Parts: sequence; C-alpha cells; structure tokens
Amino acid sequence: MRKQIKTWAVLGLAAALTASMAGCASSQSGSSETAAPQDPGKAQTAETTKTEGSEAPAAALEGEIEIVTNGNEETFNAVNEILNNFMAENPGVTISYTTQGSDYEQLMKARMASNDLPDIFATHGWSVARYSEYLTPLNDQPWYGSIEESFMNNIANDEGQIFVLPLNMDIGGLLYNKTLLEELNAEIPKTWDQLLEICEMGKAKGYTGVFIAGKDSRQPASLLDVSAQTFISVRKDADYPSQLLDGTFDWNNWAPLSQFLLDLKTKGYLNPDCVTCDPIDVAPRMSENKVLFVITSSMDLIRQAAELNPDAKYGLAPVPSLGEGYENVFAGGEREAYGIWKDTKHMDICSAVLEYLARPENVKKVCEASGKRSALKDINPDLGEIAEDYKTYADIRICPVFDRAYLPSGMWSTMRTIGSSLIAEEMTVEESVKTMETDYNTLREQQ
Amino acid sequence: MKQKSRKGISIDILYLPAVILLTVFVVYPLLSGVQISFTNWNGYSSTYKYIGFANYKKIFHDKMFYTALKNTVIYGVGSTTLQTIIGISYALLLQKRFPGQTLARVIIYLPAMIASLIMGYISYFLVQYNHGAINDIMIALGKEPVDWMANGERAVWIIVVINALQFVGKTMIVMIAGLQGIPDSYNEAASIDGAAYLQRLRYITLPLLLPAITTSVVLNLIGGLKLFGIILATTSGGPGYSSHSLSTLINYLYFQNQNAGYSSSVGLFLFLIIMILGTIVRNFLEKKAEGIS
Repeated sequence: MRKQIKTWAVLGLAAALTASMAGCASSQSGSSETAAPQDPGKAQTAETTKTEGSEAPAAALEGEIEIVTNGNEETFNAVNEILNNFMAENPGVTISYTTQGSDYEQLMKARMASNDLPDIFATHGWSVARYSEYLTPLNDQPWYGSIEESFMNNIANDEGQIFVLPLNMDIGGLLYNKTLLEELNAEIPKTWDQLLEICEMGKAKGYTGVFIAGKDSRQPASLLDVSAQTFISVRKDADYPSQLLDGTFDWNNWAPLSQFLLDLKTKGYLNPDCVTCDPIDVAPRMSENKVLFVITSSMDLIRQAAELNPDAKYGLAPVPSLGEGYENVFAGGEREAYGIWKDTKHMDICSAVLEYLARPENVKKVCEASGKRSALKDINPDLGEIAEDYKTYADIRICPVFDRAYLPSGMWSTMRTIGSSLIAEEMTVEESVKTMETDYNTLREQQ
Repeated sequence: MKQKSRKGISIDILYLPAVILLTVFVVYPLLSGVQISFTNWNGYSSTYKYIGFANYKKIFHDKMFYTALKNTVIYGVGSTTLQTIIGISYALLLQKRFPGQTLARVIIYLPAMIASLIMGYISYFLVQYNHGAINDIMIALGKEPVDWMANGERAVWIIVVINALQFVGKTMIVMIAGLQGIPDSYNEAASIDGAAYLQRLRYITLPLLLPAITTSVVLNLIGGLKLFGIILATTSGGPGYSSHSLSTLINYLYFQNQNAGYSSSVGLFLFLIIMILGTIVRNFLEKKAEGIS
C-alpha cells in the first residue's frame, strides 16, 4: 500500500511539473493575445526617453539588446557598421546583431510560438500579415514622415498602423544582358512572347535563356512571384487580385504561369543545372556572359557580376507583359525593414536604434551596399549603373510583391515546392494548380 | 517484494529523475503533439481552431505524404541493408591483425563522428553538376556531365549511399565486437573437419553474429527512418518534394508550410511506423538468434 502511495506521489509530482510547463506555455500565448495593440502611454514614454537619448545618448541609454535579420552579406555588413557606430556613441548599450540566412523564417516562427522574440528583428516583407501581432506600432516615431508615400501601402495595415522602419525596397523585374541582346540584335523584351523568341535565338548560340539556381527553391518561387505580376496581378481583363483576396479565385487561372515555367524548362531555355545550381553561383555564371535573362528581385546581382567581369553588363527592365496593350510593371515591397518586439524590456534603446538607422547617411549606406532603392524620402544613394535603369523606368508602376499582397502567409513555401517540382519535371501543371489551390484554402482557414 | 535502502527510504524514489525526464522530454511533447494534430495551428500564432480528424484524413489523400513515406522506407531499409553488408565485410576484413589495421578502422569510422549535415554538404561537392568531383572525372574521360541530384528517384538512392557510408563504421565496430565473441575453437574444429572459408562463414560466423546483427539492424533502421540532416544538406527534400523523408516533411510542413497541425499528425504517424517496424524486426531477429542458441 505504502509503495503504491509513493508511486502515485512520484507520478503526481511529474504531472504537476508537466502542468506547470503547460501553464507557462498558456500564459505566454495569453500575453501575446492580449498585448497585441500598443499601449499609447508606453509608446509615449519610450518616445520621450528616445528623444532625450538622442540628445544625450551616452548618459541616457544602458542595456543589451538583440537584433536579428535575414539580410544578405552586403546588407548585414552595412547595418553592422552602423550599429557599431551607435554603440560607440552609446557606450552603455550592447547590441548582438546576427543574420540567420535561409533558416530565418523557421527560427522566427519558433520564437513567435514561444513568445521569445529578439528586441528588434527584420520582417522581410511580412511586417503586417505575419509579425504585426508581435510588433510595436511605430507611427509616432520621428522618421515616420520620411517614408515614401507610395511605399506606405506595403507596410501599413488597414488602420494605417506601421510596424517597421523600412530602409530599402525590393524591386523585382527582368535582368537582361546588354551585350548579348546587342549581339542578337534584339530589343529589351516587353512581352513574354518576345522574351521566348530571344531565348530561342540565344539557345542557337549556346546561351542560357533564363538562369535559375534551383538548389534553393526560393529561386524558382521568386521567378513565379515576379512573373505573377503580369500573369495575374495587373490583368486588365480580370480582377484576379480581388478574387484572390475574397477567396473566389479560380485556380485554373494559375495554369498559364506554371505552364510558362515548365515551357522554359522543356524548350531548353533554362540552364542545364537549373534544379541543383547553388544561388552562390548566379553572379559568377552571369559574369561569364552566357546568360540572357534572370527574373528576380536581387538587383545586386548586376553589381556582383560586373565586379567579377567588367564586360558583363546587365540592365534592369520591368516584368514583361502578356501582350500588346497589357501593362509592364515592377514588383516591389519592403526589404531590409526592422520592427520592435512589443514585449521588449528596452523600448528606449530600440527606438533610439531605429532612429539612428533612419538617419539619411545610414539609409544611404544600406541602400548602396544592397544595391536597392531607398524606402525613405530624399535619400540619393549611388546605385551605379542600375540608377540609370531606375530613371528610365521611373514612370513604371511598382506593384506589391504578389504573394505578400494576395496570398495567405505560408503560400511562399507552396510556391517553392511547385516551382522546384516544375523545373525538375516532377510535377504536372495540373498538379501544381491543385497544390496551390489546396494550400491556399487550408491557409485561408487559419486566418 | 518491498525494497528499502539502509535509511528506510523506498527504492521507488530513485525512479523520480527518470520519471521526470521522461515526462518532460517524451510524454509531454507526445501529448502536446497529439493535441496539436487536432488543430489547424500555423505553428506560431496565439490562436487556432480544433478541426477534429481532418489532418488524419488528409494524410490518406496527400501525394506528398505518400512520396515521403515511400522514401522513408527506402532510406530505412536501403541504408540498413547496405550498412549491414558493407559493415560485416569490413569487420571480417579488419578483425585480422595486419599493419595499418587500426588506421583502417579509424578511417572507416571517421565519417560517423561528424554531423550528418556536414556529411551532406561534403558529399554534395562530389555530386554537384558544376565542378562536382564526379562530373569533373566524367568530363576528363570525355563524357557529358550529369545533374545527379536533379532527378528525385536518383537523389533518393544517392542519399541512401551517403548515409550508409557515413555510418558503416558504427556497424563495423558492432560486428567486430560480435566476431570477437565467437570462440576460435569453433572455426578451428570446422577447419579440421574440412570446412572451407565460405562454409565456415555460412554455418558458424553469421549465425553466431546474429545478436550483433540484430542490434545493428534495429539501430540502423531507426536511424534511416528518421534521416534528416543529409537530406536537408543535399536536396532540402527536392526537387519539389521528391526526396523528402517523413522527418524532413514534418519540418517542411511545420516551419515552412505553416501547417503545424498536419505536421503533428504526420509526426505521430512516423512514431507509429518506427515503433511497429522496430518491434517486428527486433522480434524476428531475436527469435532467429534464440533458435540458433
């Protein structure tokens, strides 16, 4: 009997421990539910401290904060330098700044689930749809008025709240090889048909039509995402964006986009190693002057290729359209953008850091390092040759990144799967459409 | 029977650390996983809905799941078979004393000491299309380079080989230990009776090695069934989803596809498969071993 009592006592203790863990978990999730809207009083206090801090920063700020990003090496180095300057001016502040690369999203999802987020973190285009629940609204910050008006719809929610300081913006479009187009006596393609014709001409000469580094499935997904602008978003004959937002979209209308990617592969316009090529090889391969086009939002590839081979001259053009009379556009959205965790214990330091990052000279530095346009007004970074292209196409509309604007959070991974499967010819167009539809419905139900 | 220590404290109290650890790291996550599998949780949000058995029903209609299940069986059975055959061969070769015997054992065992992810990345340098070692050799021989990992089925078998070669050293060590437990007198007696090497191997060595084979097969099978690192490093489950195992599929569904509920149901399925297969194989091999003894 006594033995039984002790056995039950042991099990009871273990159960209590388990319950306490569950309790911890639920209290965490509870706090994230109730604390979503920013307390205006708290924001005001933080703002006051920050303003004082910027006047006498060394005396006012003290503490240690964590900042994480998924920015590329160039962007990371530029921001790191700025943060080191901030720490030099504020000796009481220690900043741990790290980049998590391609594992970033997984890491952030795990940290969101445990409500243990970094004090400041990059939102890579998802400040509203995915992260706003965990971020502090920043409309009251002094740099708020500096954000480009045209860019505001990318980062504001329905109530007009913003949650990030956007430093630069992604521009997705068509990179084309100037030298090869000249050699082929071809114009910059304005339609997809023209692009395919040039690919055919290039194929005869042994050139790669469109380059994809598919070992990272984000590459074919990015091609789909950018191309979807003219295949889906800006169609004058159908209001697909509204249908995608209200759930009435007929997914058979996605088929031409999947078919386009499959055609690129089956007609031999993609690089032979399109399925397994590492993204690190994109710039070197572009520099060999045998690649005609790259459909991407990584504009920095132009500079990287030119650094490896000054004769490799690439330009930026808008996304080709479906035909005459259809619109050419760029895809655009936030790139390096930082938000503050709503539960940070160092709101004063975080606000001061963002204010410091928003200084024109610092934004300029980040833009020049990343080769991307500024999301703040009156910054004129030296973007090299691509600046000319930006000027040439100044009147071209920049539409919000397709998946961020019209698809539920989580669809990016589906686009990665179908993109990778299509170029590997492991999936039919019909299967890709079905996969998109199924995941779209599942993820919409989660919202 | 009542067991007491010298000071009269029941021995049951000694179970406490094990019970706590088991509860925290096994029972609680398992129950939590079961609970999540009945929801549509996205893996990070503070809200979710209970959706009954929808995730379990989905398993039976999901092509991605069936591909991952098939691949998991190939990874498990394929790796185990290769490791066992090569491991026994190495053990037979390296149990005899010769100069460099220890060095050879160390070299074969070395890959098992590095992380699977690292092994995957190193192996990728061999099979990559551009400047991969195998393709460089093929080009040198005047052949066309092949994009080895571009075909899903081929990628799966390449991963099987990489995994088997990484852990064959472990199998070899288990087999050498097993071989050292076989008395020399059995082989000597058989030799005197005129048994050739292959006959001695067939009727003496392998049967007496069965306990070691049982241990090794069960461990390798479990390792193969939950293969993760090498797949992530070489293909990330691609092209598309064609080389996913159930482990990488769980990771994909949870963290990328934001489908934690479905991911949990697949996880529980994997748990059941490993438990059932492991038990069946162990019982089968143990019965064989008992029969021989």
